Amino acid sequence: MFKRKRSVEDFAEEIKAHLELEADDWKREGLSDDEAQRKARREFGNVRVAQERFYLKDRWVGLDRLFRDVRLALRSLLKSPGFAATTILTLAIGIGANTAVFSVMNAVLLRSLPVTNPDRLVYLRTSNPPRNTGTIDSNETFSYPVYDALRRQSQGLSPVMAYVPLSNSKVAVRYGALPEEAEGDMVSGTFFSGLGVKVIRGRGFSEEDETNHASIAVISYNYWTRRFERNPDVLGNDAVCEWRGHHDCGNCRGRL
Amino acid sequence: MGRMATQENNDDRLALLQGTLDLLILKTLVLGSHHGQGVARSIQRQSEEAFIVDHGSLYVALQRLEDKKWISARWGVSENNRKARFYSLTPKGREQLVEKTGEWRRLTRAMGLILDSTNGLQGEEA
Repeated sequence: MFKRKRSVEDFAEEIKAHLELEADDWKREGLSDDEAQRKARREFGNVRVAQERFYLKDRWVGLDRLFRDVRLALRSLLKSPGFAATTILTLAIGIGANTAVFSVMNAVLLRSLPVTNPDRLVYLRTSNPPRNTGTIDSNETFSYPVYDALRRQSQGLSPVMAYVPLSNSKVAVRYGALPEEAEGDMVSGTFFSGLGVKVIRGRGFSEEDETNHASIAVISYNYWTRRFERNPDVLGNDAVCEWRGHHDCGNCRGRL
Repeated sequence: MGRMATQENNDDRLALLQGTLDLLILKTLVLGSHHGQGVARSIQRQSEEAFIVDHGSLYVALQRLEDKKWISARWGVSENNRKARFYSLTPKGREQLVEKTGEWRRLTRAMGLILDSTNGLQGEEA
């Protein structure tokens, strides 16, 4: 009753047999070995298509059985409505809770980047870099020539931004007389324009600043609030921040 | 023009109508078991080379009929000592052949009645 289904290989075997028989016939009519085989093949048409149709036919049968199974399942659910209701309710609550949690996480964690096109922002990594190179780690650090090449290519990525962390945690900053620590990064000229982040006071960096090694800094809103009590006059004032391991001390003016 | 030549050869050959291949296979097998290639040959010869049997479709059709248990198959050896899969009609297939032949006769008769009628050419009736 449950006959084993015929295999694709068996079907292929039959087609092969057919081509041989057909070639034999043509040979009997006086064609050469080669010609007969070619003619048999040509008369048959596309062998692959036939095999594909054979293969798909079985899948349709499978789909048909699936439908029957689903119908049976629905019928048995209808027979015991209490059980069905409990099951559906459990599933609904479970799925609902998951969806709710995911929606929140999605909004807070995944979509919260305050840039113009969060979905088009990518973080570049490389593979197989030279060992023990780079400031962050070898996989995530590119040398300046590489960055420059990436920036010059116009397809795919535009614009390319770069940043260099100045230290693992803090850099020394002096504004007025008192030295203190703050977190800071060195960034490329395209950093703010590329991200599409608005600078509320003053201006962001430009590509010229990068080529000129301009000594300017942009401070964050939080730092402005904490350190300067949102005093708009800090703009244009001198501040000094320095970082160890670099050849000079940057002389940075506070900008926002 | 040379390229047209091969097509001209085929001009008087007919592609099989949808659904007729099954009937032709059943009819061919009523005389005894055949392998696929034999079935194709037989259909072409008996139609005086008018029908083109697409071999790929033929094997798919044979499989379909086998799945419906209208024909049965087993591997054997052909008259010229080649391995081949032989098909033969089952009792169920025999019933189907009678039924389908009747259907086909009714269809051709009806088509004939319409196509051969002489008053159809005058256009719509008043």
